[in-house]
Amino acid sequence: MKRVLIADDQRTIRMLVAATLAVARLDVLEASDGNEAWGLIREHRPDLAILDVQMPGQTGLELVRAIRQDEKLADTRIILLTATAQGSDVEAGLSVGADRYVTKPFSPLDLLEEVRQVLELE
Amino acid sequence: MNDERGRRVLVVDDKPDNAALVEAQLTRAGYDVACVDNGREALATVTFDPPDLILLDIMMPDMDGYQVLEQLKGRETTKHIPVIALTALQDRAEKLRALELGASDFLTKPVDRAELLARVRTLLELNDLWKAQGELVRMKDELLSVVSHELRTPLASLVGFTELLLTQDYSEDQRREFLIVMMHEGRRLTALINDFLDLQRMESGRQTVHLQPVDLKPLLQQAIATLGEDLERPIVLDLPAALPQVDADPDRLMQVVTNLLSNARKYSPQGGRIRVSAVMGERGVRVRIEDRGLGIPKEALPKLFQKFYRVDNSDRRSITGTGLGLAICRQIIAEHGGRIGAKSDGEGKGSTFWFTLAFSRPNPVSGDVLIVEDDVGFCRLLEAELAALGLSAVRAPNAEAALDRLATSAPKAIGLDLLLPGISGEEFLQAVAQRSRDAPPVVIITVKDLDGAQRAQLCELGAVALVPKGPEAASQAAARLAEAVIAGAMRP
Repeated sequence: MKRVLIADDQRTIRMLVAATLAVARLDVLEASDGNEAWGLIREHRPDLAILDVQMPGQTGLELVRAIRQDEKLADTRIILLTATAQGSDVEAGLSVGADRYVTKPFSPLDLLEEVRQVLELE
Repeated sequence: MNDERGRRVLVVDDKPDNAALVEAQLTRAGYDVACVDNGREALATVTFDPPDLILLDIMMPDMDGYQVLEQLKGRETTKHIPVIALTALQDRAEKLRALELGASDFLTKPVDRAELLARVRTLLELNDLWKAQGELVRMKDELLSVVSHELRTPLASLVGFTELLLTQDYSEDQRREFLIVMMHEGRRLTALINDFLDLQRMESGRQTVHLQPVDLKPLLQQAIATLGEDLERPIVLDLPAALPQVDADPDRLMQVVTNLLSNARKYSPQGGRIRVSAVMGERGVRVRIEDRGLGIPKEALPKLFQKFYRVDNSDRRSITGTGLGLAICRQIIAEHGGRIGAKSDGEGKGSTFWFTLAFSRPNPVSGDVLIVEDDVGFCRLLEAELAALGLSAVRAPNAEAALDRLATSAPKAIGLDLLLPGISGEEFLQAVAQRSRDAPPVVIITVKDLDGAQRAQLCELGAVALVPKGPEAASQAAARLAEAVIAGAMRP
């Protein structure tokens, strides 16, 4: 079973993403800030990390950079969640190595489609 | 906007006599005036202590007015300060050059006093409008960034869970859980919009506080009752036995107190007593709300009252709010002329929030003029204007209190606001007219647009003058009241 980490400081967003991933029967880990997320990523090596850009502790962008600099995490796919529709955040995220980004509010089914694509699921 | 008091004008002139004359005229009109006698010093002053307006002599040795203008208009921080060029020249080309370099206006020396004051005032008014415009643009930008950031999270939950519920099969329990989240997020969205608009209305001056004498104790008791009982977080009230009335807007003050109390409870997840106390000072009172909750990290204290600032750590992440409550409290207390603050010995050591309010000034029993007006702020302005004319005043916040005053004292004139709580101004006039043939003359101060028939009716009931409530209302009303007092004294 593929394993996915969700990092967002808003509990309701974690619930929503977890419920979305449950539709595809994925194994879900949750973190409520950047530092907790980094710990879980290194310990559990999820196949996919869904990261909020603006989080306390390490931000989503800092996490992307950290993941991409760690050889052991080379296979980790990354989707960024952003609450600002600002292109600069998105560009920065993609340039440091995120695979996709999704803007809040988002359609859970669209997010699921993105997840299926990056994880190459059916 | 028409208030000259405190507006800062910088006079730049190398001839001390000229400068002194202009300074004296402006100072007498209420401006705060500074003088320098050369261009370099002018630029330094403007950089470190920017005035609202500059009067700039063109013909100066060393660095002339044109050079100063060029420098001022070339800098981002100073280019918006309006400049009036002072010129002794009759030469049209020279005046045009000053205007082309960015002077807003010019005055020819010797400067005519009336012309000087009129031009200064007009330019300041224009500049105020320009600043207000800039402020509106800033508020619009802020609104956009808030909409794009703060509102997206609750919206994401609403839209997202709705889609899941519509497309997936869930158990009854699961459906309920999602619906509860949606309801909470919908409410949070509503609170965010309300708080944000509330703050914008206050910041833009569209909503102001209406001060009146208020007894703190019942207000605090009511605030505590509003929050309801919480056995793990009881609120105790600890007030001095005799607490004089304070000047406050009861609804707005209530908003502050309930906000601080609900914060105290919210940030005491482990429970703990909350104490509300008051310390009397010479001129006012300091209200304190102490909790034994999570406390506040030192570095967060200075930012606490900023919009959307939230102390973030894992203890608090589940505590929701709009991030605007304290900003609203600060704004309300500032409009009361008070101060607000917070202290904490650190995380886990509880927090204390405090604010100050001024005592109501004692109201004398009798005076030359009876002011019937529920807006204490306006009363004070009018009292000051009357005092300047040598008249004493006594206040009544409503018609009932005014009638009581009239039973025991005989003011020489009455200043009456028509819009009063309880008995209206018109009914009060009627009661006064019926009571005695020798009723004091009444000056009406009102925001109402009155038609001819209404004016006639008020005159019949004893009104001698009508003053529209506007920026000049207090001084105009004081003048009309003084006239009425003098006319009364001259009657046989």
